Amino acid sequence: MRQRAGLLVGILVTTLSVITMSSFAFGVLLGQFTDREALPCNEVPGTPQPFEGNRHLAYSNAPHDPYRTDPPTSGPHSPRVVIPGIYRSPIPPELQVHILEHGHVLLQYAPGTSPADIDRLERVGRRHPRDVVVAPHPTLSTGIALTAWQRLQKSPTIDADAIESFVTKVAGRYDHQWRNGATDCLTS
Amino acid sequence: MTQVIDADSRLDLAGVIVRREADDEYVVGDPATGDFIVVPEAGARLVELLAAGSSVAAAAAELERETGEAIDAADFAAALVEAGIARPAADPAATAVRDEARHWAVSRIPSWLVRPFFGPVAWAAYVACLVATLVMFGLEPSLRPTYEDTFVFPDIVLSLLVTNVVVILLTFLHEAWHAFAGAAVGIPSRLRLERRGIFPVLETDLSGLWALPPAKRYGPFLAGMAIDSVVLFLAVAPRYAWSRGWIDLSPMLIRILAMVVLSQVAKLAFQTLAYLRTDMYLVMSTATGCGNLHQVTRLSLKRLVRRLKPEEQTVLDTAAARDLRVARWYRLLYVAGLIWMVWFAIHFIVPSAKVTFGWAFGVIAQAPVLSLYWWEGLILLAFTSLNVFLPVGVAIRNRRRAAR
Repeated sequence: MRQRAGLLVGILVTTLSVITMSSFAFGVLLGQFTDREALPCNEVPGTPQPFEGNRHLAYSNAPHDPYRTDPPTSGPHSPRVVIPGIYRSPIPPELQVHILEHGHVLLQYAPGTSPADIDRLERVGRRHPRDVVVAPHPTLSTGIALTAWQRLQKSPTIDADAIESFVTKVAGRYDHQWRNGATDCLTS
Repeated sequence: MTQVIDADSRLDLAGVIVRREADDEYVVGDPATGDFIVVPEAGARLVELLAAGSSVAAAAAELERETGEAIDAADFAAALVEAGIARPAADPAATAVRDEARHWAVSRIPSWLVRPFFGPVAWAAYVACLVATLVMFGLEPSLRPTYEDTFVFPDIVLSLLVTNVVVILLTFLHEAWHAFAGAAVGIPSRLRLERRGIFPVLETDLSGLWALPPAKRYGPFLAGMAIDSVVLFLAVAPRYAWSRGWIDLSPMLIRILAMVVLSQVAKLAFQTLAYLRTDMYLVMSTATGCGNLHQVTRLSLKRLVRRLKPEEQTVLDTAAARDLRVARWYRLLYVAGLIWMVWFAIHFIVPSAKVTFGWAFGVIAQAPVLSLYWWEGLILLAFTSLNVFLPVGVAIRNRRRAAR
């Protein structure tokens, strides 16, 4: 009886070991199953933006050419990392680009946005905690700006459907490279 | 110091217990020190006679009368002293002080204080925490950890500092729970820095448990994972409630909790890697009735590729039949584990070390000297070096100790 119980525990522990060891491979496999073909450019929200480079600055305040858009959508960026979530202080442009390089979406609001609207925007961050960074953006004159790698959508008002559409359709199209057949929608 | 044992010697065997493990196999040891040996039935009887106060000669005569066979009791008694299980009766105090000093202070807590943490209700709570966490992971996949959760702050060095401090504190908690569980069954323990393959680890030495019946060992072996499950639950549950909009929490707290989840999941996953002699290995070897499974497996594999040292050959020659039997299938897991560890090092540790070393050297070379960024690069370099070279340092230390 004890021998049989011992054998069962042995099988259980061995199985757990194998599952842990193969979890990386399982992760890759499961990721492939959930990958969807990227949307065609005419279905992707926002406006495509030209490529401004993707090099890492040697250190956070190193000088670089100015970005062509505000907020930026690509270009040289800080080696520092900001992970998806809710931020109550502005995120420097060099850090914003690094967020976008990892395939995440930035949802930024102008100074003067009402607390109720900020709460609505932060709830988007809560619903998509792995995809969205929500933060204030001091140089935005009004409304909100949604950015992704080489993608920009500004809006003077908060349109919940438009925000949801941008987040779900644009996040993950790029992660250090275009993924699942996505393109920058500028070059053929 | 060599102890001289003769026919008139008496031994101090206070605290030593004798427990039958299998047919003609008895565990003799002192749970307080963790020193134990396995002896045949005649040896166990001799220990009982010596513990009752008989001299070596009187114990040998009694055993010969009972079994009809003459034995070298002085040699056996000397072996007990050599193994640290017995002391010459004249000098018990000095040894007691020495043993006391080796124990981790946490493990000397009175057992009545910690026993409630390891009763049936407590174990039900530990299991409930783990199950509830798995359910939340299933309902809300975004709660599962990713490597990005390390970066609590934009400043990488600050993130690494905070992450390392939290991980070390939680590792101490894990080890303290092992020590508390040991104390609950009267077993003091020792804390030490060790390595498991390429991973540096803190380890609570609960060797004294092997002198207790198997059923009493599981609790102390699983205690670390139990408290890990509680911490994991406490980190996941608020994030689950927050993601559903039930409660409001500071976004920074949410990021810190995510980092704790990553740390705890990694810790629990590590414990399942039995071939690294983790907590689950101890559970498995207890359940299968093995006493020296890992060493027997390692040596039986080593024998296939190179000649064993005489003392290694002796370990194999005197290995229990159960160890040899279980080693036949455990070696498959052991070899798979070694291959996986090399793969893990090549695909994760080396590339991440390359990236961090490259980034740190780049900052040191290009940032203004002595600026904040320059110091950041230097600290990152030190951190990465520590993580990469600590297991090597522990391996060198162990080799030197073994050579002495």
